[in-house]
Amino acid sequence: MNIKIKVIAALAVFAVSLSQVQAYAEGVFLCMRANESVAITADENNNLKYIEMKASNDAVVYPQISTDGNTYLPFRFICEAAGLKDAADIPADLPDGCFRYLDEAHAYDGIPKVEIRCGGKYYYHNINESFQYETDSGDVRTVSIYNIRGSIYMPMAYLAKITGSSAIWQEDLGQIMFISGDLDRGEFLQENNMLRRDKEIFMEFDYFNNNIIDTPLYLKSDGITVQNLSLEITDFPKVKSVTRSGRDIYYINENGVVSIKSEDINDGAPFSFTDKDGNSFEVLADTVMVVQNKLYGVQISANGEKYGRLFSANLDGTEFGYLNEQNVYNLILKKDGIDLYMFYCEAATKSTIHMIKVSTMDDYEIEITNHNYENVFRDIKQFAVGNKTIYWLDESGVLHITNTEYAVEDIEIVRVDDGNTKIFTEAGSGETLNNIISMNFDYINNVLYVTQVDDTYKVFYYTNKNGMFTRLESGYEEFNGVALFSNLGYRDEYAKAKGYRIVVTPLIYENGTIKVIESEVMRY
Amino acid sequence: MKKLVIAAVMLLVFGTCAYAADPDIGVICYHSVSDNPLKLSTFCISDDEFKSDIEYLKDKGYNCIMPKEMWNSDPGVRNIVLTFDDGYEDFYEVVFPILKEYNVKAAVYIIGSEIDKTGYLKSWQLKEIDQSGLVEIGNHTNIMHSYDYSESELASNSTLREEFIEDVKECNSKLYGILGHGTESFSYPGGKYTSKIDSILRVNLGYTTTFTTDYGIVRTKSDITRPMKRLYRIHGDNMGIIEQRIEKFR
Repeated sequence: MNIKIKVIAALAVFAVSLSQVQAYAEGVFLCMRANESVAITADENNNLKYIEMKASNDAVVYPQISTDGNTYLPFRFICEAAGLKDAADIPADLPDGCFRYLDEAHAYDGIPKVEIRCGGKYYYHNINESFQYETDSGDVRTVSIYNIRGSIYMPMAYLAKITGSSAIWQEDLGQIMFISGDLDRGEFLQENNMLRRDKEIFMEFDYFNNNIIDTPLYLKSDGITVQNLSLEITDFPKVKSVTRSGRDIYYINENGVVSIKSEDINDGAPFSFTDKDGNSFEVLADTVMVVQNKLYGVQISANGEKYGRLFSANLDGTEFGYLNEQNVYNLILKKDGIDLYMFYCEAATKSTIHMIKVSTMDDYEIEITNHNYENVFRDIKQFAVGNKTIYWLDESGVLHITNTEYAVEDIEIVRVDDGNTKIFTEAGSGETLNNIISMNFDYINNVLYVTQVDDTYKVFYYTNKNGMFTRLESGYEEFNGVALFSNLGYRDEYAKAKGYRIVVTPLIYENGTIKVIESEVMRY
Repeated sequence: MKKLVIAAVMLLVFGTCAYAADPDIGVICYHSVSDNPLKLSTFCISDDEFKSDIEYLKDKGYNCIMPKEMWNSDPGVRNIVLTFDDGYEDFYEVVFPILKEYNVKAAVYIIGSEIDKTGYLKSWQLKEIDQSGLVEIGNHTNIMHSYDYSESELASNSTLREEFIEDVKECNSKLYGILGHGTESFSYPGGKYTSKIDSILRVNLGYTTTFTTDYGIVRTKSDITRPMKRLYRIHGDNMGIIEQRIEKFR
């Protein structure tokens, strides 16, 4: 079997319009990634949010790792994050708690340099001139401050040292943490330095896997409460594809129109999009989701359709545009490490899956073929991309599990044995699991949930660890689906629904087994 | 007896002529050239280093030619070929402006699957580079650049070889779509090749020059008929050192 990914086109450059990081009295938390300009920070209520890093010349900047292993951060951005003030306009001696960059014209000796004064101490360094400093662990590092295409870059660990901030480089994730001031790092990081709110970030605070049964449930901005959006709208219409940015909730209303409302306010209205020519319009859609301060979705031509054009827009509706030329469906979001990927399927073939890497918006066509170059996919109704596995449901209701041996996001082509696409049976029964109407994938625990309907509805789960399907629970057979999300307590929960009746049940995942906590069921 | 003498004389003359026509071309293998000091590594030299290479070659009277010009290169001139593998975007951002500034020719080898991808040359950049007349755009496979295979596997596995050939065609097809013409120069990913594949590339697909990463120079015209050896230009070296290596091979 060949698995081949090829880039189709570099889509529109990813752009977010955000304010600069805010420095609060207690300090600033930043989670960044090498070569990516979008960082995660926390607001005054410690809610996490995305921001775009910019230099004083408005150029987009990002952390860079030098080939000798040092991490460099954009000078002005990170100095401000450390609580220092830009004193570029102060001609006299640098006040304490300030920094400035002096170009050739302003430096006393004509050599561009940076100056920092903090904690009563004064530091200055010529640009491109190497210097040494000793880390807290006693290592002596040789670094420089560089002007890279007009933006000044500073060694992160050095700046952390002189400002008393914490700087953590997680090589395996390519993730950089910078915590300044008196912030409690335990608020954001676990003992292993992993981001404590990783699930919240993964879920984009708002987008959780609720597209399977199109539940109106969403996780509120308090990060704890699961709410039924229908209950916030007059006459309780059936809404779906709920996604949230802050307290702004985007959803698809009963007429299939992308709509917006504010959390806890009993109102809602069609959302107005604007294209580059200034034309305003409403959009019918099958799916809508907020991903890093952009709204993505599949625009359809009639309510109830599922094939349509993939679009993106700013969260205020401006810059509406299509990302490709063809009709697509099954738009899903996946996180791998801290990389975000969107996947979709071509409507024309129903057998070609695409992947968009969100950080670059490069669009890849994934080809999975056997040795005769025959596509293993056909008649895809729905798919999910797991860890080295693609789960796909065909139009006849049969679920296929294709083992790719490598993570789809990482490989371009790989050979694996034939017969890697399997149809599984329920453990012990020997009966093929067919009549599957939907599936849902938990990207955190790598668990697949499927809903089967024959004479009644049943929910099964599958993990690679135990390699088989297990009935999730008996009872509640009248419920017709499952939706998954995580709350701030890092607990997985799932929802079952029939019509407007929804039951939310906490789950515990242990060693490939799912346990249902019946005692904490919530009903809507 | 007379016939034998004539034959001997002719051999001598032909042999002498053949020696005189040896091209003795050094082919330099670059990968990335960056103006970002944080990115410099063994295979990523600085823009200043590249500029000094060009100035050195100019000062020493070297003539930079494209691979397709090797067949008809003037043996009386000190020819050199500058090749850039992988098709990184810094070729457009850093290398191309310097080539234009000094009116120097070069070749860049494109990985088809990487075109338009972040960090690699975009279609519009390839068009502009191609239309400059200074750069020959070559083929570096479509996707097999990322394959993990050995030279012996390439020799023994016919499926892999077939896939390799199809992959070369795929890259050529992509470049044809962008440039309006195909490629006639090929660079083997990782320098790995087999004589069988090289023969197919030249006879069936029309490639006139192919390059490996084996260490050496192109001494004779018959060398041009095989995957040609190159000299790596690595960060920290300079063109004087490379010139000494070329001289050693002569």
